Amino acid sequence: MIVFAVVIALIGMVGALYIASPLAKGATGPFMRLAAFGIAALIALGALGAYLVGGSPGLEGRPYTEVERRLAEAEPETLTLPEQEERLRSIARRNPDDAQAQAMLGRFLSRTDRHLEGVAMMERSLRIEADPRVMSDLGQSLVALNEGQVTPEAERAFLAAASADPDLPEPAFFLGAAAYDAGDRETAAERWAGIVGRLEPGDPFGQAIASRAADLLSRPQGGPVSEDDAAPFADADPDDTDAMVDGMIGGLEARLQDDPDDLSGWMTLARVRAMTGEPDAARSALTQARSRFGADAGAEAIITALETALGTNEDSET
Amino acid sequence: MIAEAGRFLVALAFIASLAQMVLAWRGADHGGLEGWTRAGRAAAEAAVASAGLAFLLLIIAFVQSDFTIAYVAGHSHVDKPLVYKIAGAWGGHEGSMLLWCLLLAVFGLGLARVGPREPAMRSRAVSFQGLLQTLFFGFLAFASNPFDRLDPAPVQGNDLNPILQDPALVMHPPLLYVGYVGLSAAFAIAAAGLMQRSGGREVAAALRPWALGAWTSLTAGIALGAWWAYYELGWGGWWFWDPVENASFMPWLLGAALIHSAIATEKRGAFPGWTVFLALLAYVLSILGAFLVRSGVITSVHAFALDPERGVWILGMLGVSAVAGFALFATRAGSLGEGDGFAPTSREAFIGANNLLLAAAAGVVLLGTLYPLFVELLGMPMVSVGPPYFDATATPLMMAALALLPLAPFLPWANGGAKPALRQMRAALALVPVAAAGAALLWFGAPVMAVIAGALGAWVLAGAAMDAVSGIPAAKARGAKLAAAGRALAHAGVGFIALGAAADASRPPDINAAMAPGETIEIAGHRVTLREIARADGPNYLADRARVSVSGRGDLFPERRFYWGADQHTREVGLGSGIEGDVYLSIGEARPRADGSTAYEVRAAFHPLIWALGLGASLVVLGGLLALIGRLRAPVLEPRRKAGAVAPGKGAAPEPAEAGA
Repeated sequence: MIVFAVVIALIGMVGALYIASPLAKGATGPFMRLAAFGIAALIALGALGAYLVGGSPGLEGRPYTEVERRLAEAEPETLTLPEQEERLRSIARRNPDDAQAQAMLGRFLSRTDRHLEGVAMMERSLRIEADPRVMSDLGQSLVALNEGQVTPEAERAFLAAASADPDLPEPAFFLGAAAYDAGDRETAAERWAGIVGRLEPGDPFGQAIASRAADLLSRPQGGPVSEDDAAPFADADPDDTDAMVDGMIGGLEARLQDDPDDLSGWMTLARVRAMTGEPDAARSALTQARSRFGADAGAEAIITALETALGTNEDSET
Repeated sequence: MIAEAGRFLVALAFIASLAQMVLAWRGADHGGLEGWTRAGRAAAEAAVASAGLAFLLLIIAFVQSDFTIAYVAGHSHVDKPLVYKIAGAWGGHEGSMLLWCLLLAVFGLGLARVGPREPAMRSRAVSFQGLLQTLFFGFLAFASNPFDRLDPAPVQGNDLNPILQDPALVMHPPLLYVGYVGLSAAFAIAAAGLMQRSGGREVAAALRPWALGAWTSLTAGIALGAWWAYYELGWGGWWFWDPVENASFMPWLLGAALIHSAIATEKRGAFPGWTVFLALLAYVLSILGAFLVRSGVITSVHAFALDPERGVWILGMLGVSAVAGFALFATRAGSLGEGDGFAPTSREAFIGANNLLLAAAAGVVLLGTLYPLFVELLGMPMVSVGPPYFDATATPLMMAALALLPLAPFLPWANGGAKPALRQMRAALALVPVAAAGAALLWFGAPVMAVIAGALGAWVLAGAAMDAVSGIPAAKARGAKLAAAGRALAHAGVGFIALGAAADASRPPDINAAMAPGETIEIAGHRVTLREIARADGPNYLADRARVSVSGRGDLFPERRFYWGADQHTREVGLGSGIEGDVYLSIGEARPRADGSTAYEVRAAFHPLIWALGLGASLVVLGGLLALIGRLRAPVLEPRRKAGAVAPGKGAAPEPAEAGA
């Protein structure tokens, strides 16, 4: 502050004296010298007054290098989101060959919904080092960027990640989801059961995947019915509708008799039986599923998850 | 400390400009020779030093990325390349206003050092320039200060608008501002001449080099802007009749008129009032341009400050400058003299006619630009005035000016006589129908105006070539030879611009297609095949770069970029240039197809003879520079008069070697 005051005082005085000096030099009497002095004073004071309109003499400047140093020295949890981002950017910028630095920034950007940038950073990281976890994160960012769709590009990333590290849960889950979206429930069930089986019992990822798989695999084929599709049946006789539902369930049962190696089919049957108020029939369907797939730990976990969700296990009845 | 020191320097420059105005005025009252005048000059020097240092500090703040300065935070980013960090100093409103003020001060110092020869008139001109500086430095210090602070400061800046991160846009504003602000020197000299009751010839002689330099720079700035728009905005347009473009075009038209009328005034005493009026009006229209760009009254891709409060400031400055200038003109124009008579077929007559056409074109452009504002002001439904209006009004006037342009250099001053000139130009005249037929044949189906403009372009080119052949050898002094060469080059440049504009108006329709790698389209006989799309990220942007093979042009690499700091997408076009024109490609978003493949939006266009526009603008600038050098080497008016080289009021012999006309 004092240094600044001295500097601007010097600049102001030098400027004022420079302007007024021709008058003082050519002065023929005391009046002109006084006028020159007055003009110099007016210039210096005028500049100071104009400066003080909006000036902030006490506010220090802050070049980016200072910001960078402060962020590097700070505890990350004490920083705001923009500061955390800048800290990661700074690390990535200073370490362009550090794959993890690029990946960390990419993950942060994706978490803050800046998926396009997140994808770019993760791709940059993968160009330095092929890390299966980063491949998986890249795939997830691509899914988020495409509003939940597992695009071919995301699928490639997940396949590469799963191939490099088969125990990673996310690639297996999303590859299963991609197969499910394509109508291939068998592959989806294999993917999900496979990864749930490979994870430690009680692993939170495993439980989450099993629950999600149980929900998706037990949904009736064809997905949810839109209002437009349902409109022609709005005025239908309830008895006719019930008969139609019974017919569909009967059809599913008959199909499972012919082809019992269909985990999704048994789970769907259990779910619709539970929804139509037939818990025993639902339990029976789950028992059938268990008898076919129970040896697979992953499939068993998915069946148990559905059982819990439907409230048909013994614990829920007690 | 940089920010606050910069702020203080802006304040000092403001006070120094005020001192310049007062001290130089007093100096002019004392004949322009005493201490007051020297003090006025010292004030001009102090203003330049202060503003220059402030500008340097602003650039340093950009280089250091000091985001405690609001302007830096709003227009920079740590990852931005250094050259664009520096260019950011003039990439936004406040910084560009500091550059404008710095240039005003530089021109003020220029006037103080090499301004009008008559001391009192020079001192008065320095004082008027001080008035203009005071207005703008006041606006800068109190309403647009580039050193305003932020507390708390953001950790990162918002980045400079990505479309401005381009080499052409680094130079476009400084050149444009040298043009706009250079016209302030002509304004100050004109006002000083009126104040001192100087004769029209003295005023014209004094303002001519300033007007010529400013107009040349304005030409370069506008040309760079048009070139940038052509390749950066992604759809191949180079002139849109956008209000902000019009704001630069009006002073350009009046500047063109001014540099020609000043020749007639200086050499023959013709239209002295008109020359001075043009000098005043051209700068007033420059300030109007600043108002349109910075007030928010218009919507434009160029409008970079939407602040009505600032608009009121600029309107005030416009009012003060216009009232001061035109009040002086109204009360003292008689002192300029009435000029000498001339025959209708004299060079003065043709210069006058071209002046009227250029001024009328500026008038209709002004009307079309301001009409939507007036309509809005009156509470009527909003309207927009676009190319159909300007093509129907301004373009025919400029075509008429083109038709007259080649004749003037061949006409004698004063007594006139068109026959010898027409005899000299027989070959060029014969070329007109041939060129028209050629244009009609080549551009079959093109608008009639394009065919006419093509023929006129050929006519102007032929005239310029004949002028070069006869005018340069006829000139005796080296300066006069340079000036003659400058005139021929500038006129040839105008011909090329007409030819290029006409050709581009006849271009085939653009093609918009969704293309997957491996697919091919065809434009103007060129096969365009999309080969691949690859990532090509830059320091502050992400990019998809396409490799596109174009038959006869090789591989082109258009890009689609995303600047994360500014959160904005841009397109970088691929240009395949050849003698017959440019193949122009840009890529857009990727979209999935039903079959699962990915297709990219591709825009393909062909711009015939587009190089003629760039060549034309370059020749005009080169011609302007040669004419300026020639003018500076030529003897000034007073000694020439004393030597009897110019005989006012008498019919003078043709002087083909003189600059301009």
